[in-house]
Parts: sequence; C-alpha cells; structure tokens
Amino acid sequence: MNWLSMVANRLIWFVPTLLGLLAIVFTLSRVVPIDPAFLAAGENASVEQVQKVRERFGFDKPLPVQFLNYVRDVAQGNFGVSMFTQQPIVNDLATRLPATLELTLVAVLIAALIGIPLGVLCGLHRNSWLDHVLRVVTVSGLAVASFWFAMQLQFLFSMKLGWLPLSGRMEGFPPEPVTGLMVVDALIAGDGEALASALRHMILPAVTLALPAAATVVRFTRNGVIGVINSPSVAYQTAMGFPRRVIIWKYVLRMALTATVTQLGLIFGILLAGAVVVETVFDWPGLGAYAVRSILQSDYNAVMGFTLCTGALFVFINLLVDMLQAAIDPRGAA
Amino acid sequence: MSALLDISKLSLAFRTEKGPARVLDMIDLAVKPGEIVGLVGESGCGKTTLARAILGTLPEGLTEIGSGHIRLDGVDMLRGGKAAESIRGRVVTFVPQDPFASFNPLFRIGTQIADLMRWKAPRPEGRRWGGHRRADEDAAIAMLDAVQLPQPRAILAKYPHELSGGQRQRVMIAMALLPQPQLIIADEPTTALDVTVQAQILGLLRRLAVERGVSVLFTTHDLGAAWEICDRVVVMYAGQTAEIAPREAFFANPRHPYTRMLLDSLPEPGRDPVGIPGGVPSPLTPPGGCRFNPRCPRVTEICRETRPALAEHEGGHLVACHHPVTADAEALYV
Amino acid sequence: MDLVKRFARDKAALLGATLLGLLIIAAIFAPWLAPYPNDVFDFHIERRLLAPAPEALMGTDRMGSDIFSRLLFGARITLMLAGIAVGSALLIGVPIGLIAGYYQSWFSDALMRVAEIFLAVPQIVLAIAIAQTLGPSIQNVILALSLTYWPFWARLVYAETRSMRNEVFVESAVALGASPWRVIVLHILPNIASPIIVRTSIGMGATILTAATLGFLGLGAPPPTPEWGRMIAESREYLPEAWWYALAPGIAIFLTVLGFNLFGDGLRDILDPRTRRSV
Repeated sequence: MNWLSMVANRLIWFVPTLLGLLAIVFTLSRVVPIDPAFLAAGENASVEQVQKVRERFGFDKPLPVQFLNYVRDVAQGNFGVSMFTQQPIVNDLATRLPATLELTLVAVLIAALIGIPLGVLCGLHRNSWLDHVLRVVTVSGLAVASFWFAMQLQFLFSMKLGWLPLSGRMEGFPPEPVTGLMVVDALIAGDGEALASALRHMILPAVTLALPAAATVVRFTRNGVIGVINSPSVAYQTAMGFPRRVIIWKYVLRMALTATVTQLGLIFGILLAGAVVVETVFDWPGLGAYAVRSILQSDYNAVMGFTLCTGALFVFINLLVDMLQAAIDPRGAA
Repeated sequence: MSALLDISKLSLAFRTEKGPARVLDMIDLAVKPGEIVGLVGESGCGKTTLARAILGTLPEGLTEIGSGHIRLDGVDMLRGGKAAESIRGRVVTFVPQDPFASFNPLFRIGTQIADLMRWKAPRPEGRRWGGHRRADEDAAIAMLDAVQLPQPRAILAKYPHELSGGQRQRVMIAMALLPQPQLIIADEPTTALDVTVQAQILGLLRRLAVERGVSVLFTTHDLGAAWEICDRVVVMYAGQTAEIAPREAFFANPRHPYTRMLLDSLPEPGRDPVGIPGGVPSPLTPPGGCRFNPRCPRVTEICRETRPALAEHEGGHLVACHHPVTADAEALYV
Repeated sequence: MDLVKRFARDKAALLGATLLGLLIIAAIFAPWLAPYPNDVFDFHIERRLLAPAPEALMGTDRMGSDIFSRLLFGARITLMLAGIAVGSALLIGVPIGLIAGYYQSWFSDALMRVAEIFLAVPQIVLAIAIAQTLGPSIQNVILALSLTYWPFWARLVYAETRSMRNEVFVESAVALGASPWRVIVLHILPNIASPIIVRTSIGMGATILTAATLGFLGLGAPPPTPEWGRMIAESREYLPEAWWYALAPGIAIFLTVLGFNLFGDGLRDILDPRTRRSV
C-alpha cells in the first residue's frame, strides 16, 4: 500500500475514533450511581443549589441529548468547565500539556541514547556476557512496578542521600513561560538557577519513565540487528570485502533503526501510560497527574477532556510514526 | 599454467545439535586464470558451502575445518586473516544467488556501488583516499553500460526495489567486475530469475569474463546452464568430488555413474528421462567409502569400504570411481 | 518430550517457571505458610511499624500486622485477579478476532474499529476510569481490566486469522465444503494457539502490573485487603523511617511479573518458531 493512502486512511478514521472514545467515556461517566450535580455543588449545598447546578451543566436532559451537546461543544473547542478547578478544561489541559511533553521527551531521549547503542552491541555480540547481563536488565526493567521504583528512587536519592528533590517541577520562581518547557524557558531567560532546579527535578521522574521504554528499545534494536546481521545483504557485503565497521555502523544500523521506528507508537504508549503513574508519585504538574486527580474526584468533564486529548495525541503520534517510517524506508510502509 | 584458485583436500563440518555435519569431504578443485569452471550438483551437495568457504561467509563458530587449504593467488583464504580480507572484493568478487535480498534495501544503488569502489576499486599506489568520486562514478556508469543496463545514471539514483530481478543481477555482475578481479564466484546466479532472463544473464557473464580474462567459478544445479558457459565442469556429490572434465568430454563421455545418471535424468527427444532412485545421504551419517554407493547400480564391496581416489583417465578427465563407466553406454547396469 | 527438554535447557525460562511455581504454592498454602494467618484482618497497635526481625521476617505495617503473612495472602488475590481478568479478556477477544478475521465484511471492520478505539488510549487510563466509576472492589477491578484488555486479543487474533485465511490448507478445507465453524475450530484455532498461549503468559505479567497500579491509586479492593499495590501505597507516608514497608510487596510484584515474562519468553522460543530467539 502506498504510504499516502495509509496516512489518508488514518486521517479518515481520526474523527470516528475520537467520537467512539468520547462515547465510551461519556457512557461510563453517566452510569455512576452518584449524581454528578451533588458532587459539583458541594457537600453543604441546598436542594435548590443542586438543581441550579444540574440545569447549568445540562444534567437534567436525556443522555443522548447531553452527549450531542457535549460533542457540539467539543467541536467548538469547548470542553466544559472543571468542577474543581473551576477553570475551562481547555485551559487546564493547555497548562499541563507542556509539563508532560517535557518529561516524555526527556525520557525518549534517555531511552534512545541508552537503548540504541546497547541494543546494537547486544545484537553484535549475541550470547556474550554483555548480552546476558542486559537481557536480565531489560526483562527486569519491564517487570518493575514504576510507582514502586519511583518510591525507591525517592527514598534513596531524596530522603536518604538528599541529592535530588523529592517531587515537583521547580523551586522558587519559574522562568517566564515561553514554550512551557521549563528547561527551554530557563535557557531562554538565561536563568542558570532555574535551569539547574528544573534539571534536578527532572532526573528521577524521567529515569523512572525511561526505564521500561529503554528496555523496549534495547530489545527491539538487538533483535533488529540480529535479523539484519544474518541477512543475505550482509553476507554479500562481507564476501565483497566491505570493511566490517562500514557494514555495521552504516548498513546494519540503518536497517535495525527502521525496525525500531515501527515500534515507536508502542513505546509512546508505554510512556503515556507511565506518565499517569510517575506524575502522580512525583507530583509532576502534567496531564497524567491531572487525569488521576480528576478521576478520583469524579470530575467528568476533565476526564473526558483528558481522554480526548490523549487519544488525539496517540493517533497523531502514530501518524507521525507512519510518515517517519515512509521517509526512512524507501520501500514505503508495507 | 599454475592454478589461480587451488583447493586441496578440503574437509569441513558444521556443528549441529545432532553432531557434526560433514558437508565437504576431501574436496580437490583448481581454477586456472581465464577459465570458467562449472560446479555442478544437486542441492545440498556442498557447492554453496564451498563458495562461502572461499568468500569467508561461513557461519562463525559453527564451522569446523577438518583438513586441507584454499589458496587464491597464493593467499590462504581459510586462515588468512587480514590478507584474505583484503583480497576479497579485489582479487575475488561475488555474484550472489538472490539479487533481491543481497542489496541493502534502504540505500540507493549508487551508494552501495560507491562504497564498494571506495574500499575495493583499484587505485594507483599512494592515492587511496579522496579525489576519486568523479572517476568512480564514471567507471560505475561505464560498467553499468557494459552490462547493458539502459540509462545507467538513472539506475545509480534508484533503490534496489525499483529494479527488476534481471536488472539487479546485471548490477551485481557490474559490481563484481568493477574492482577488476581475477576470479568471480557466481553462486547459482540465475536460479532466482525468470527462465527468459537466465540465458541473457549467462551469456553476458561469459562474454564479459572472456573479454576481460577473468576466471569464473560458477555453481549450478542446472546442467543446461553449465553447457552454456563453462570450459570445464566439476561434479560434486554429497560433499565429495565425483568427476572433473572438460565440457565436451563431460557431456559426451561421462565416466562417473552419478554423472551418467544425472545426464540421463534430463529430458531429451526420443528418450524418456530416467530418475535417480534414492536421495542424497544426510551429512550427519554419510555412508562409508564412496558416498554414492547406496544409490549406485555398479556398487560392489570395495565401494562401501574404500573411498576411490580422483584418477586421471585421459586429457584432463578425472574420475573418482572404482568402476567407471566405459564408452559403451549399455554397460552402466552390470 | 522434545519441547519440554528444549524448555528445560533455557535457564531463564526455568527461572520463570520456578518463580511461578513458588507463587502458586504461596497462594494455595498461604493459611499454613503464614506465621500470623489472622493478620490479614487483625491489627495490633502495640506492634506497629516494627523493622524486620525473627518474629516478623519482613517487618510489620501501620496496623501492626505481619507483612510477610499479608504478602502470602496477597499472592492469592494477585493470581485470582489477573487470572480471571485475562481469562475473560480472552473469552471476549478471541472469538471476536476469529469471527472478524474469518468473515471479511463491514461487520468485522466495525468490530475491529471498536477494538481500535479502546486501543487509542493507554489501557491504564480507561481502566482507572472504569474502576473509579464502578467503585472500589476486587470484582470491579477485574471488570475494568477485562473490559479494557479484550481489544488487544481481538486485534492479535484478527491479524493471525486473516493470515491463516489465505493458507492453502484453509482454502482447501473451505473448498471441500467444511462449515465455517469447523474450519475455525479445527483448522485455524490450533494454528494460532501458539502466539495466544505465549502472550497469555506475558499478558498475565502486564495485567498484574496494571492491577497493582490501580491498587496503588486506591482503586482496588478496600482495606484491609492485602493487595500488593495498596500495601505499597499505604507505606508512602511512613517513608523514610519504615523502609521495609514497601520493599517486600514491591519485590513480590517484580518477581511475579518477571516469572510470567520469562516463562512467556521461554514458551515463545519453543512454540513460535517465527519469532524464536535463535541460539
């Protein structure tokens, strides 16, 4: 299949997928035995106040009507108001998205910088001691509960050694927000203190988040290299006397990376799911922590906004991965 | 004239879970300068293993060399280390069986040719580096022209999947000729191609080799192909050399019962093809003596006990058989 | 048996099998193995937050209960929860995948679209949402996990079935007049069983992690259920003093998931030649 038609196919299904996602979350939010209006109005609200809230949020209308109203609002960029922050959801999401993006990007960077070279080495020296050690490490990295790992890091590096901050994103005043990414903003502002603080806050959550992703990258890269190293094209180049280093670091690496890129969607899934937990443990003011808090507080508009945002992000990332793959593999997305 | 390629008493085994597989057993073979030698045998007879032994692409760690040597231009190709490595791609080049898988799919044809030239093209002494790009490209284009590829410049910019099988094999032949080698090893170069293309490729290979005085070691299971292009034919059976003969003598007057039966198995007008009963023995448990003895109509006790030596009969016609077939065709079945 | 021998030679797979064996023994014999079997419900304020000692191997928790005893009972909950959740996800997902893969129609397309909608957000997010909506209990955690996990199986089985659909032996069975039911059950299912079995083991590991995460966020069974994720959550406010509190349940989760993953990898090597790690 032509990669253009593949992209088109994804775009066509973008809206129905998001609608379906909304329908699922909406249904969920309305089968609860608790009256959302009660929650929104607060514990000490009178009957009249509750009724007012009910009318204001449209909870008195039939469910299909509520859903259609909601879809119409969303289409106009209005996700409703959070019952707890009393802010438009769009604002809440917009202020928290950069924090999650920053954390995720740093984690991807760590995972790639560590995972790719190690994966190549393991693939080249299959069944060496390095391969065996890293196999244990990667299998373990995928078996650790990230919230527990995060707590152990906090215990060791913050509580016992005092080297790194326990939680949060910044001490003192944050730099002037330009991109929303603290590290970048601190660089723009030329604020060395803020930069150091941002980086120090970043280390533990980013490492926690990167651990399973790095393990996945190592495994895919390793298996990619092994698959290529035994291929006829490498046998041909060896027979023709190409230098070993040219074969490995030019031809094999490119092939192995193509195999890893096809799994980028999966890796982002791991990161997005990880962010939900890691942000909660480290009090990182991103989307994940926002989602958990909204869910625990039955803040339905916020939950739906978050789900929609994540779904859109995910579909978008998969689209990017497809295009990236088409760009680096001349055979096209097969 | 002394031999360019000299293989003597080569025995080789692969380590397998069920014990050593003795795929080559005391092989003798010589290729003279400018000579085209056909290595003929059923699949599994060891001809590809022999080619890979010369080219240094046997599976590392799984191969055991029992005895013998391979010398190419005086260099030991089995234990030659750096010397053998530098000869590969320069003195001896390779045309692979599968032109589809032998290119790296992610790089342009031009890039793969350029890398070959960069490391293997003949250079004036003292000028190994730099200043060759233009000359290399011109040489590549001239060679693509010589293998009768239209629009050679456009081909350099293409990816392997954009070429047909026949075109790819022409590029492979061009790449084999570019370093100006003394020997080309062509391992079943037409097996993966359409029948109509096969004859063209064989003709091209023969013409270019003869024009340039390059020797060719050509493995095939197709006797017709051997007839087309070879000066001399070597028949292998189950890892042993059965018969070596000049082309005319080989087809007119085969001496080894196996060769005889192989020729009888070809369809020919006025005669029904006769199959060879039984199958190739497993290299894990090869029969003693002559490995053909379980299938041979002329078998006697000595065939099971003693391996027949390769003995010269007349004008370069060598046969390894205790009871060679005489000119009288009816004498095959005693 | 050749397969058993090959499996036994793989040290990592053997370690996985051993870990799973220990887990199952712990789950079955928890009441006999636990030094204080009543500590699942009992509390002893006078013994709270004691460091590991001979009388409490892994220390005691905030209620003074023996963490080791609670851990053993937690193995029961973990195994049962993940087993039922993965089992029901399989029961929903596999038939859907088979039918959608066998019959190429708008209906199968629609089914797979629904599955993809579920797969568009991380499982944990939907699972948290469902578990919160239904209220904290083990049954609801199981329900949340199965409802969010079936699409994975549907997609896997769908892809495998579609590739099988074009195999010669399937086409010839159809040509010979075999009923679709017969083709699916007798020809397709046995041939796609290997990847399903392999992924069931790895899926158990993933599900245990997700379930523990739900417990950690307070969405699992209510206290005093000895659920591992919840035990770790409880320990947070007693750090850094009670360092042992989270240690044991965390390691228990790790070893359990590790066991399922290694076991699954080992199974893959002997059952699924296409993805086999070569020697």
